[in-house]
Amino acid sequence: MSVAVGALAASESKRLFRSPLAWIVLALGEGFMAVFFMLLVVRYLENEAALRASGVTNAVLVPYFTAANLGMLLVAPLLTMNAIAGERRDGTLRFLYSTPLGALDIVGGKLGGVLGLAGAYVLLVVMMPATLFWGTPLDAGVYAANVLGLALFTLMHVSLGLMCSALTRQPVAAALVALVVSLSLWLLDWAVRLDPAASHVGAYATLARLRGFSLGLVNSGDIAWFVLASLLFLALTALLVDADRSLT
Amino acid sequence: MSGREDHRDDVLLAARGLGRRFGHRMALADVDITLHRGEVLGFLGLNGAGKSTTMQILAGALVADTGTVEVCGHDLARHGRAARRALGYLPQTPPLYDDMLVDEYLALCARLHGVPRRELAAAVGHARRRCGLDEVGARLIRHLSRGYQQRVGIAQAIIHDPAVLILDEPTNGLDPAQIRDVRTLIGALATERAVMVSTHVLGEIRLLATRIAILHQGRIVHDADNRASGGRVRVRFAHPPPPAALRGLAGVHAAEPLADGGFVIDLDDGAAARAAFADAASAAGWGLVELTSDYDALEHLFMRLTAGRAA
Repeated sequence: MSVAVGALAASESKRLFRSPLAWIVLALGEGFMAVFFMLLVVRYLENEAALRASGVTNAVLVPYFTAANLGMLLVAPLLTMNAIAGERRDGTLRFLYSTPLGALDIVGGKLGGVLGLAGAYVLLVVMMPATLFWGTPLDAGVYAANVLGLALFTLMHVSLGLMCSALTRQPVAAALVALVVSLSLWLLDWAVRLDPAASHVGAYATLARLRGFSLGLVNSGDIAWFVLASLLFLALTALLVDADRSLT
Repeated sequence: MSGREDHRDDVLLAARGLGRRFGHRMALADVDITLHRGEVLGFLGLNGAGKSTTMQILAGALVADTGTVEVCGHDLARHGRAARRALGYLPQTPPLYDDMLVDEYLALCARLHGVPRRELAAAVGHARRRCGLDEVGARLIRHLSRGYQQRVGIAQAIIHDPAVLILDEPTNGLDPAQIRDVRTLIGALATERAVMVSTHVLGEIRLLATRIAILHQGRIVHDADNRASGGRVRVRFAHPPPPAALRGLAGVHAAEPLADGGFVIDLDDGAAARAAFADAASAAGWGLVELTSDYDALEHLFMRLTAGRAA
């Protein structure tokens, strides 16, 4: 079945690249990141004396990747909203059910397809700060940790987006639900700041989980958390897809 | 249900006791369907009778609450992949990705059904040719007319050369010439396969199907060979007798006078019964001038079975 899953993923990715929405999202996302990157570099150059102590890595790279993660939080729901909800609305999901693909195959194909486009977005985003390597000493370890953090964050949010897309037949509703859930997970960190007693809640905050990566500390616990959260969302997506065969 | 004991070994699809509820509404109950190789089953019913639900269940796109479906010996619930690989399904609305090229879409469908890469081009070419899509292979599906989109839908159903074809209103949106082409295609496909076709056009089913099943309010109310209605004939005489005289002839079950002076007669099935009737009419001196099959028989049967019980 891996061949069929690959075919579904390739087709999904190709169709996404053809849709104007995907290009608009990518263009706006890259545009936003480019402007932000330029502002960070300009700020550093204008305040070099004050910022030299923390270095380019901390003054440019870390805030840049924090913004990149925040950008992905907004981009992922837009890239995933049609993946299953759109197919359900158009009646093509039922066609997929009539093929030899199982629910996991369908989810795998969809994940692969969206990751194709999200991967292109991430690649462009991480290439931008890499240009600093030509002009200044940059901490390659911190850079690599941030790239890994963004990749894991992307995987988790694409998985979450797919799950939300499997909940409904309205893509816009799917995007909104995904956005609310991912923003809530991001903002859980603020709850801890407001009330230290809520530290058990803070363990689920994506922002807190990203903190280690942004400092260049690759913690296996954080990696496992992102991977397990992604697997959980994907498993729930497969269950929702499978249930759809019985319920609709 | 089919009564075709002689083809028992050639059963390609067997559904037993299918039942399905949507909320409190019973959509299907105790539906049995058997499809044999070489058979075209015409599946009729009023809107909302449960035809599409039945076909979705048979195609594996919907799970039944009760009952079993076996396709080429594979249980659809337990060995779904193998069973679905042997199935081609065209839903009521063709399942098209309108942002794809026709060839691209057909290649995807072939891959999803497990056609090996080396056979891909041949499979796409074959399906395209059979469905008259050669000229539009490089066009975007959204730019095709409704008729061509329907043909693409049929092509995706046959791309992997399935043993069982389930076609939900395949002639929907086609013009008369295209309908004739699809009828010819289905007839050709059925020689080595089993085909199940639903439609609202009774004349189409009469010409196409070898067997007819009528579904009403979620239950099969008729399942018989298409020729079963062949015993109903229209006759016209130079000297029309009273209906009672016709009813008195051997092999005649009923005789209804028509407004145009002819009669509709329910005869025993078969050529022998018709010959005997012609001989008897001649011997009585009624001057038989016309004896034809009653092409409205199916409509008559359908209306009788579904009359007054609208779904």
